[in-house]
Amino acid sequence: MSSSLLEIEDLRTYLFLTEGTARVVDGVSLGIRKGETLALVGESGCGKTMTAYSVLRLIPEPPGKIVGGRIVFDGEDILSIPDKQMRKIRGDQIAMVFQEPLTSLNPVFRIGSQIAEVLQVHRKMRKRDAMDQAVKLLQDVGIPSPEKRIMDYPHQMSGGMRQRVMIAIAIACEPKLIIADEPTTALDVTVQAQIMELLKQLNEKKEMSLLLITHDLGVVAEAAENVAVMYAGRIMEHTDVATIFSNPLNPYTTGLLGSVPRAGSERLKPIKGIVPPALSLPAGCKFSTRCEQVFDRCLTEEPDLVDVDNSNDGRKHLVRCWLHKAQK
Amino acid sequence: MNNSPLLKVVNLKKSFHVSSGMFSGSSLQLKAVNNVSFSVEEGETYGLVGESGCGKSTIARLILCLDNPDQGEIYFRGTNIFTLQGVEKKKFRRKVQIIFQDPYSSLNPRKKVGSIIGEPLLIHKIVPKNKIRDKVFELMNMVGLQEDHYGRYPHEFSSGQRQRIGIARALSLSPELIVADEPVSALDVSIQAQTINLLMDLQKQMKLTYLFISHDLSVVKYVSTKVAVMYLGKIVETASNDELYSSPLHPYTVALFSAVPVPDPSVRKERITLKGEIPSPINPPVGCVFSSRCPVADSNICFKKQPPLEEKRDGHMVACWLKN
Repeated sequence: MSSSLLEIEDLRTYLFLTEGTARVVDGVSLGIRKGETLALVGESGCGKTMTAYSVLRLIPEPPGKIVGGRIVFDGEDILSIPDKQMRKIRGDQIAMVFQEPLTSLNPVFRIGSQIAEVLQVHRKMRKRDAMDQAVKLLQDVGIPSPEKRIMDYPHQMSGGMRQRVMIAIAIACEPKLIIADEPTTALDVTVQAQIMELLKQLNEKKEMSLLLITHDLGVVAEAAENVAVMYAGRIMEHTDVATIFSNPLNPYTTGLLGSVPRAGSERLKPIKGIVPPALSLPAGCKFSTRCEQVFDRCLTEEPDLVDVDNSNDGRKHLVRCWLHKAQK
Repeated sequence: MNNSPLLKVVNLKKSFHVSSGMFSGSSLQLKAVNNVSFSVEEGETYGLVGESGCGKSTIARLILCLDNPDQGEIYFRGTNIFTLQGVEKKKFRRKVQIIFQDPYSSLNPRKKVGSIIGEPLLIHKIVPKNKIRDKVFELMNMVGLQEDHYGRYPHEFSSGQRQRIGIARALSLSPELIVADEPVSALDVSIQAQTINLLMDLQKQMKLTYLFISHDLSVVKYVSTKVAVMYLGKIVETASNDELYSSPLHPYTVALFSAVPVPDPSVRKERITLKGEIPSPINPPVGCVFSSRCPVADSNICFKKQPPLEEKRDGHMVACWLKN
């Protein structure tokens, strides 16, 4: 195994609300190697974005707080460093691409200066050099006539263009890790293909690691190497992409896969019910309220995330479910 | 009359005026729907796909008579719907209903679920007032809502349940045609699957005809019997579901299908990545609407003249010079 870039251990991020404590991320452990693309999959409200925000230490406090765990990035425990030092890492070594490119760009600044700002802050470039670099970056992300486009405001661009600008900002400092939170959800399918292609290229050429947050299993199949499936703030299953699709073990993963319309007119097999609110999760396995294969033990005891791969090739297949055990 | 299709759209055109600037008096013309014709047979699910801004929703509004076209006609059971007036028009509205995309903005937040679903019954006087409650219960039952939801407000529901409320409202008048405008795109994948299953079950039970509008090609493939692909206000290709997905002819359709990510990592397919983005419908390309992004456009003809939508094989129509 090559060296790991990001190591999350037992991360717990809670929201302290007047109604109670919402455990939005509850004991998440993940690792990302250099150059790896890891997809974080799950329905809305299962804690994917909160995990990403925790890595960047962007959890709004209050009501949120990282109450436990360790996040080691490039050998450094970033939960224990001072804010000032974290600001140096954020945008420089870890960058984020947000879902909604319209609301995440500042509407009153030209896009050129928004890209240049990153370089001025982190690379201490002069404005003029930074603007030259911004033109290059726009070219890298495939925006035609970039020297003119840097003078545009965000509202003058289409959704796909704006997402390219977001990516240009993210890669400006050649970060080691890019976190992309649903980067293509707001885009049309042909534009989505372009953006995914672009992220893949950056991932391959510049050896950037990518944490891809998405609910689109098609995107996962095409872009990711490894997949972690999240539900109710927990990792339910974590393995390589081929195994997730060919041999899913957790009933939640099976349910997600069964919900995707495919060729043939077989009836869809969706998961029944809805994601339970974070304030009233069931005891025992958190998926037990919607699981088709639930039995007594699921209702009282929560299973651990354990490796069920019995080959000795170093691959792992982590599952959190009483049905699959090594877990006895 | 028996052989006429349930819905027939003929040479439909609709354009909107957009002002070209805050202080300039002149206005530009946006051709949202440009000469579109198709017909929907009774009992089928007609899928209309295309990227945003291609005119899908404008067609939906025109079919529901919410807007008047600039040109062209829409026939419902052989009657031109734009000539209907008074009682006749009200009757027509009973037969065609819509399910909206956004389950948040399409339900009145100040009304209880019971009156949202019951309101069409009241307006059209389908059932006597004292029977409305029973009828609403029946509808709620059909879409999988519980009776104790009757007195609740929309904000108390999840998006999937709200979409069910919207579906119950559409069904309340026992319509013949339901226009579903992106009915599942705002929903999470498992809820999306639940809703699709519900729509398919209802179609069987009530012998409904759907016009299913979506940008999600895999959903359209799953539900439709016939599919039309739109680009910049025009239908570029239409065929039966199987035919279209197995042998698409138009370069746009081919590229669109190849852009859809397949949820199977063992499939490695050739992807045609289109360059650029959809041109503005205010200023569409001269000639074929797709010519500016087409990977195989021929400068001799594609940039000069618009190709007509012509039948290539049995029921498979395509608008492309290179295929004619």
